[in-house]
Amino acid sequence: MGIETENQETENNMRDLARNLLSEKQVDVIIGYTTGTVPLSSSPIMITKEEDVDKLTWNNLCYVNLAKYLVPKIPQLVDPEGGNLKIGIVSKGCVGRALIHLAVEKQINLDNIKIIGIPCNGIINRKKIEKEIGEREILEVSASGNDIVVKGKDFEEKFPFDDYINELCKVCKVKSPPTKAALSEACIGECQEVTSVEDDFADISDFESKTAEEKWDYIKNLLEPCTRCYACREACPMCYCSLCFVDQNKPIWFGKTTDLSDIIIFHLIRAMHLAGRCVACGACSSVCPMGIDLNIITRKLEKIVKERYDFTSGIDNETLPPMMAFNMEDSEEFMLEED
Amino acid sequence: MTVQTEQETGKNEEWEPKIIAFLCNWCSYAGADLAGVSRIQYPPNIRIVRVPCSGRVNPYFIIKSLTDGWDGVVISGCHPGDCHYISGNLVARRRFAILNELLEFFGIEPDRVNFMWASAAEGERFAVLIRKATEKVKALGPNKKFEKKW
Amino acid sequence: MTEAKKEAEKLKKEIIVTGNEKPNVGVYVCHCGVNIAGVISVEDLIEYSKTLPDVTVARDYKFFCADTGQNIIKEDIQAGLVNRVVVAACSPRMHEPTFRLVLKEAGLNQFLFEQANIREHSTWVHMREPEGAYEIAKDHVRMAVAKARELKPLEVKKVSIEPTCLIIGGGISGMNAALDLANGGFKVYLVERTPTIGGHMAQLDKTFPTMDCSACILTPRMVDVARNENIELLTYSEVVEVTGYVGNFEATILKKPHYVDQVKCNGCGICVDYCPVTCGNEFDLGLASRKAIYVPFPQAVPGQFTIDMDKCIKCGICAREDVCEPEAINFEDEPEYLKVKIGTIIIATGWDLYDPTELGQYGFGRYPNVITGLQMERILSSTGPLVGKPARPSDLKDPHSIAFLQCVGSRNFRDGGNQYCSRVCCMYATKQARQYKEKHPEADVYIFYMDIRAFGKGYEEFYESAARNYGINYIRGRIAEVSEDEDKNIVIRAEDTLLQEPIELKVNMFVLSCGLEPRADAGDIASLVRIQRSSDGFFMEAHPKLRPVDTLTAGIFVAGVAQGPKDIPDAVAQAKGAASSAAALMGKGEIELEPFFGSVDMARCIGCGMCVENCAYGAIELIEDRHFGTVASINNALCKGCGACSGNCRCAAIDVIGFTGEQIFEIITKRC
Repeated sequence: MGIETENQETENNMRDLARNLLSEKQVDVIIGYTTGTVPLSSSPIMITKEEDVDKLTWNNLCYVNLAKYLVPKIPQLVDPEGGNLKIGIVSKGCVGRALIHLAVEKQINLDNIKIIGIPCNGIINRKKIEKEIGEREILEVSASGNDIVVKGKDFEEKFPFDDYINELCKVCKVKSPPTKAALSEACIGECQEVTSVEDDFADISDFESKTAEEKWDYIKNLLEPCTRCYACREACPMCYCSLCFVDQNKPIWFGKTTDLSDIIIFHLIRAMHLAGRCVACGACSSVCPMGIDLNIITRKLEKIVKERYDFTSGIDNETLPPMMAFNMEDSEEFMLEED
Repeated sequence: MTVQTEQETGKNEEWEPKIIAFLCNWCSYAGADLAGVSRIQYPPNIRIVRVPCSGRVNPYFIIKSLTDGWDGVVISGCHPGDCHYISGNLVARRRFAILNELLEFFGIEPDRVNFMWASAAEGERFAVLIRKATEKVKALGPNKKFEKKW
Repeated sequence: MTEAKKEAEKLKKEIIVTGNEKPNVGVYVCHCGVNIAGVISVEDLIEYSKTLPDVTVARDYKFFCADTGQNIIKEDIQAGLVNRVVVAACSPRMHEPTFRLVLKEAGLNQFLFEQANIREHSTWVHMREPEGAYEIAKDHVRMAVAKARELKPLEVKKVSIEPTCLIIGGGISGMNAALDLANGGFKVYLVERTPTIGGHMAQLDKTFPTMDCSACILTPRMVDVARNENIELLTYSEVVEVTGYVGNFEATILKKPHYVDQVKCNGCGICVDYCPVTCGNEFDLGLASRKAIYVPFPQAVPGQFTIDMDKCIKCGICAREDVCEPEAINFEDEPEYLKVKIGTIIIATGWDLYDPTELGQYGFGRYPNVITGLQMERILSSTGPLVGKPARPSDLKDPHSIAFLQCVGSRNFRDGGNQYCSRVCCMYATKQARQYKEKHPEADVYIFYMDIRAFGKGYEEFYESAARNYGINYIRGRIAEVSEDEDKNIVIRAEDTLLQEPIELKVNMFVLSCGLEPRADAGDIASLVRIQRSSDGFFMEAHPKLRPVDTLTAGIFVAGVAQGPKDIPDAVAQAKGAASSAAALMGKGEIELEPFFGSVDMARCIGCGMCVENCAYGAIELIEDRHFGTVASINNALCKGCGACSGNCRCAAIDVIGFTGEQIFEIITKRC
């Protein structure tokens, strides 16, 4: 079955579920994706009426993590009559993970959410395609067979699907929203039973074997283009602080400039804040206007919490994430000790 | 603004690292006091900041110290199980584990940031570990990674 | 002066500080005699301090902690020259309370004070590197001034103190402390984990140097404790949990099941005759036996019986009506948990004897006639297994020659050995030697020693008399090894270092004067109440000289050998000291605590709940605020100000007063 056919089937099923939810008044609003305003993009959409259901689409350009629209929990975002809005949300695996983790962090109440599970087959790596096409204008992007087809005024190019999806999608193990007994009420559509996620993190073992100087050079080159636009922060469902640490004034811990030291610190601390919380959706890399791919940092974060605390974020809404717990037996091999 | 340590401007002596040490009030600070009372000598490279518990130490303090020109950071608390506030050091330990791994991942010399446990009765151990941390930082040379260009 | 005028005078004296005015920092550099001034130049440090921003005054003096020194600071405050005070001197753990009081008496809020440690952390540890010490002193002053600028006035928190004391351990120290406190009108819970109080002292026969009978001076005390209305005696019980803080602890005590109703049992002892199970007697250290139903020794208090369920075969004979008339046996007995509110705690858990089995060269455990000092005590005792007719274990014949070896398990500088001196062994060996010589003047008694420590009142005289009048042979030298002959005599090879000759000696019995060790579970007790232990494993006192009965945890005291090896007079003195300290605290009725709590900036908090999980005291909960939604809220009654919540907060929404993020930022960054 080619990518196009898969997507079509997923889209149809998703629309049926959405239609049911609205007609049975199980939800007040459905958050999903729709066609983007320019090629190689998609847009989020919120629909309340059955007749708008056909605006919901599913394709490999749905890179936004829709869970972002549910945070932070602000009192004003309630139904004017006082109750809480019931929300249906189109969820690929990482969106489902994000919703579950946000429930653990008490930002959303899963009782009011219907997770419309869909089996994601990967998100196209926009910047990689753009780089290949270069200066030429892209007019249409579609999937055919096992390829991504990019059409312009005078050209048509094909890219193998498996090579041109996001790095994170290549190693993804949770393609549809995870469900456990506790979550079965919230999940409809395609969801998968996940008890634990095994991973050998082979994709970053290459980077990990570099020397400190090599790592520093690599990271420097990776992050140097950053313009501190914070698109990554805005796209990330886990970045919902009302006052981000870089915007803080009393005191100003870290600079907002594009000096390399400031850039590195921003990404280092943002990574620190995402430990045990990041769901590897790749939205941050997808939205970056400078094309910075943060996948190795994301993978490293997953690796740290998996190896040290046997934790994967967003799988289970009853396990506390590592930064909210502690154990006498935690590893401390990094501590300074007498000889 | 180029961040320079005092020793670098003008003086041509051998460079000595400046290390900021966050010591928990109940164990490590008391341990450092005991080292003083017992007149145990160690190299004069650390500057001590008193905090109530190692759990108080936010990664911001550690990173800010590195970006602000300190050559090294030491964080010391009570041994696990002996924390005056029961579990503050256990909370901190996880934080430090993750920070340490990220520093290493980013290629920022992890030997600059050292975590240790030293109790109020361990004046000798405190001095030994400080000596060790100082040697590690000295081997890395002055902290130049975060010098601002403008 | 009328009352009103006095009040007005007091108010006038108080200097109003909001925390938002321009800070005028006074820096006071102490010479501390030559402790500081002998290593670094105080004058240079004063000049440096004057260059720091916002420093209006910089003075030096020989001893700022002295009255005249304190007055210098007071005058500057009252003259309006300073509204923040930095003293550069010893450790704040030494004199912070002293200087805070100076500020208070001068009318300035006592929390506008910061102390720079330039003694313990500078001149004392870099005595041979004065330039390095000076650099540190400069930086510590600079950092203290940086923090001082950000200090805000705070009010102390007052908490009431429960006038009840929990004493853990019912030996001579625990009992004395209990009696003093109870007689002073305080309620006492005395918890002892064996079925009787009395501790190790009950195992002793005579006590040095007066040769008092130990039981004769101990048992009246035990009875006093049982009879005292204010003491709730909980034997065969253990403390399993302690929460709370000074004045407001809550302890959970496990009362282990006796399987014998303690009210019905009248101590008649008929059950003992009928019990078919014989097992080792812990009180007599394996030299005698007891039954599964037992009291540890005849004078035990309480005198009710206990069944050792590990040994009992549940034959049911003791439960028969013709055996136990009061029908006190209860095989369905369950453990009971008691939760009590207490104000202070005294730890008097005592000691374990060093086990010399690992010293293979002395043959303990292999040769029956090699025994420990405590076993010798039981052999000599008139209430012991041999009822005052001491004999040797192998054939129960009276030994004609006995050798003692001192410093077994003490003063050992090999890896893992106890380095300290156990203090009492020289005296107890001398006492035991004398006792034996009194019964058998013709016997040869040898004491092999390294040094004889006879430090107490009457001790030197006792030792002199033992050597001179009783003919005990003191040989200075360590024993290399011992072996056994066919008659189970002990053959000793040693060196007489004064004669500089090797010796070989054959004796009938060999006593190892073993040292005192901390209890095997001392670490568990330390974790239970959160106090520290010294490097030798005994509980740590707050200050070796000036605070020998306090621990570093407010409200918890330590007494007896639990704090370090000592003899009975010193243990009782320390118990009285601990009781007096506890009484001083409880007598006041309330205590002032530092108001260093967590505080939440609700505008920044997004209610993720991480701080709630990280708080060990359950002091944080999520509440609904009508403007800011779900945010964290801290209960100051429970908060201890540790900052575990604040270290993790991504949004910097939670801070610790007294160690705020801004203060630490200033300390880190103000580098000139």
